[in-house]
Amino acid sequence: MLLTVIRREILGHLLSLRFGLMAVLVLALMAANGFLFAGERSTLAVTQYNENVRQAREEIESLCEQGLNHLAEKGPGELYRRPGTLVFCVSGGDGAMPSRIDATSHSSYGWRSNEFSYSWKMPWNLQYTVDTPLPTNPALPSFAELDWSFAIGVALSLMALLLTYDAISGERRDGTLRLAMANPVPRDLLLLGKYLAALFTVAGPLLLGVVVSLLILLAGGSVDLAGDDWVRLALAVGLSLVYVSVFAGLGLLVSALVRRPTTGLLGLLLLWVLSVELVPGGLGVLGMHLAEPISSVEGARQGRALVDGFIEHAKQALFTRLSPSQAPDDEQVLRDWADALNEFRDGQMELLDRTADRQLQRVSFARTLTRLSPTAVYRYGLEALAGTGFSHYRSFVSQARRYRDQFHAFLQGQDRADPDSPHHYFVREGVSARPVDPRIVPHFADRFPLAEGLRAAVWDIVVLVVLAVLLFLAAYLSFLRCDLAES
Amino acid sequence: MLLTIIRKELALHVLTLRFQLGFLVCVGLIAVVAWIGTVGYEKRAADHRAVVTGLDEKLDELEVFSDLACNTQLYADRRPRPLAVFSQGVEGRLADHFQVAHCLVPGGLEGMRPGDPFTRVFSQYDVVTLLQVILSFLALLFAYDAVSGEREDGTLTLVLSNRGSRAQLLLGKYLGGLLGLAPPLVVSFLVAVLIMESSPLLSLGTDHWLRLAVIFFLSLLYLSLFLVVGLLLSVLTPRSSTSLLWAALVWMVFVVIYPAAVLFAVDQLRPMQPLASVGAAVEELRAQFDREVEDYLSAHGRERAWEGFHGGRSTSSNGTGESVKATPQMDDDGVIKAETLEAMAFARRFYAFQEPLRAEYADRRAHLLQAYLEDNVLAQERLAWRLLRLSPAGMLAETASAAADTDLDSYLRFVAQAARYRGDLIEHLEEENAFGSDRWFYSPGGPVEAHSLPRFGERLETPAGLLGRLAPTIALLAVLNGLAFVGAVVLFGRQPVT
Repeated sequence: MLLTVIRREILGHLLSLRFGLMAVLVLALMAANGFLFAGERSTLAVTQYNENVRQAREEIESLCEQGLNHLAEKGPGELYRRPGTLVFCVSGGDGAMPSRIDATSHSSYGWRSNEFSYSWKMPWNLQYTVDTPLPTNPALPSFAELDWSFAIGVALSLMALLLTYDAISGERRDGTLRLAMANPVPRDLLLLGKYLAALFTVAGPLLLGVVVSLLILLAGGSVDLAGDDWVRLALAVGLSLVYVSVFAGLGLLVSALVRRPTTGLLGLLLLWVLSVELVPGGLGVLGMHLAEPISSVEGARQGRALVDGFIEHAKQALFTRLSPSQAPDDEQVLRDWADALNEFRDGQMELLDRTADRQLQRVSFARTLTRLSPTAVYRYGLEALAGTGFSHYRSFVSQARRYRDQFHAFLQGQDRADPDSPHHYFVREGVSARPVDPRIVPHFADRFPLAEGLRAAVWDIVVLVVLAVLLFLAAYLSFLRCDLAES
Repeated sequence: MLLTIIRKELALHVLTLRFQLGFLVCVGLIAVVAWIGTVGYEKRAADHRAVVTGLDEKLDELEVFSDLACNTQLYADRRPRPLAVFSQGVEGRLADHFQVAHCLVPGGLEGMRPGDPFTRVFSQYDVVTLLQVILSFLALLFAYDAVSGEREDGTLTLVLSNRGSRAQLLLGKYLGGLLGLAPPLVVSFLVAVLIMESSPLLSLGTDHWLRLAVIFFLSLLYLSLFLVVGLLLSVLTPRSSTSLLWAALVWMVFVVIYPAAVLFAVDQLRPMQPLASVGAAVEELRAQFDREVEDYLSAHGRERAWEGFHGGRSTSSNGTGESVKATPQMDDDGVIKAETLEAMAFARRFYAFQEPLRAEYADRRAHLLQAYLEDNVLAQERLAWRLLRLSPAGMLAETASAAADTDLDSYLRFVAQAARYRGDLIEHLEEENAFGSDRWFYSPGGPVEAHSLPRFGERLETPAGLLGRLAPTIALLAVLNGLAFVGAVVLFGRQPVT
């Protein structure tokens, strides 16, 4: 019986104008997605990343030859974020997120007087840059990217609404609802049939669009998908179906509640505009505004104050005595230097990390506000699954921090292994000068594994699933209570 | 008759839930956006004021003219535009402060640093964008069932049995819709202006009111177009639910999808090239400059410019400018030694050669960067706007930002004025013979006379110029309005009533 209902409904949908129009639109968007993401820009980002990583490795290797102390002083170099492979699925501003964290010591300082001369490098720390992977045009307004999440989030959700808005109210108006109920089919089956039929109908253009987009992308040769990526894409399609079913449930609910189908559609359209456009945009702007970060000027000022304070301290407390290069055997001099450098490094690290955290919290706050819109929830969930955009950047930051600790541990371990070293970590003269085997140096490789993505996405997925189920239940309840006849 | 129709339509619209909801959403969001925009303006205005007042103090302490190259640079500061609250354009996205010196050409890539990457992830809203999104939707909802709905309900025959013609009916419905749209539009403008005026830092002059009127008129033309398109759809389709479907589709394609698709496609198909190639050429220029200076020195049998006196020097961050301050060697009586005097005479000739050369090289460097900008940033931007013009939403965005004086053209005019200002500065320095005098690098005590230096003052576009620039788009919008309306009337006239 259920099958009969579904078959009848699907046939009705497939022959309708709204289905035809929306299907054409969705397929056109997905095809455009394929062509655009197969373009030059995506390949450029990957090439650039590989080149950057290669250079960073060479840098480390040359430092290894110079000795452990040089490596300790200069730091592990630039840490690069891998550009997302699945940006065509959901970009989440992947191209606008910072592409690197700088873990190099850049500035050297020196002091010279008649009896004293010494130069040293400021300790390296994680400097969170704002460089994008590729140059971006600041004059262009920021815009939605034409990824799957756009086609599905905007067009396919409307399609789900259009297929369900008159499911009950329309039949009631035409008088066919009583006819349908005269058959031996319970109300819940009829409603379930309509729901599933709408979902199957929407799934058609969705799957077809996904296939079209993937075919174009793979034929273009600019996208290389690994086994992991296919799992991610499958999950993304699954989440898209859940998202679409939220709107199908909403459409059914409204169609059971209102008398005139057009009234229902008007209300639904308003909700739809709020969800796809106004809430993500408006509340996002508001959230970013309410949570002001430390301004870059203020951050830079605090950073400079820290450096100036340290140099002053170095002049006052350390340079009045001997320099480490003149008295490499003087334990006390080395220890004081090491203490001073480490203390400065910790202070700077705290400041830099705090500023970066504030920035991340600010974006998270704005995103939390926008989660009022199912479309935003869907995009964020998809983003975490696909490993792109802000979710990836946040993971990149914590990976870089873990790597920092790992690198310090490595340096200190190597230093301890050298009996000739004075073991005063961070002072050039206090650390082993032996060359290091580049093969044992830990290298940074940005990875955002699927498990981590799933963990990050889990709440968004749960919210969408719960919303979909609740809306269907609400539709069911109101359908049970509604009048069959047109009043 | 016409009046009756208008009155009826207006009452019908205003009493509907869609109107009330749309009104509330629109005004509420606009209040939020106007407040955020005003706070942003206040920040920029405070920065601008700090820069303007800070310079005088610094000039009081100008010890040598070469300080102008690096330590105390003059500037060109773009006045913040209050109407950015209405249409943001490129305001706040591109640098509005340039250092200006003979060795530093304002503009170029200095202005092109992307801002906070994280704000770019959220779409940027200003008042006009919100009107463009919400009220166009409302306009379509007003008009979509004008004919199809009445035909469905059977009231169309009734209405047409009155004295009014079909064209009159459509006109009445159109004007009624327009009047229905007026309250949200007017209240939105009022709310935004009130919020702006409540800020102590922001005051609107006559020029601004004029520009606001232009923006209002443009928004009205834009909304009227959606209204007419809604009427056309209602004539074309037999059932009101079908017209609503078409209306939703038209709105989604023209307001949401097409603008996003254009911007994205432009960025993807015509991506900005990495700066590396330009960087190498700039580096090469710098080396060439150093060689010319070395050649000059060796031709005069010297190794360094300074032989015979000491001093300090500082180089500007991009290495193109240099401030120098010499400390001559005195004998015991406090008189400058003879060999130092001779060295200073050489230094005068040297700087009279080097600094104009620096200015020339700065020009050449700026040309390189300008070419990069033209081929990448500006070409991309222009292509995007040309394509956006195919959608009414793009037309409104473009003209509104021009009217708010925040569009790219306005910004480029500012950059051009800044470049002319640098020309004036160089001319002034040459007239004063600053490059070839002791005062370039030597301060016998007391500051140099710096207050006669030319200052930057931005000249704004006149309203007449603005209207000339906007005329084609306004005409196009009006023609589209007219065509769609005439189309609706003609089609309606041919249709059977039932």
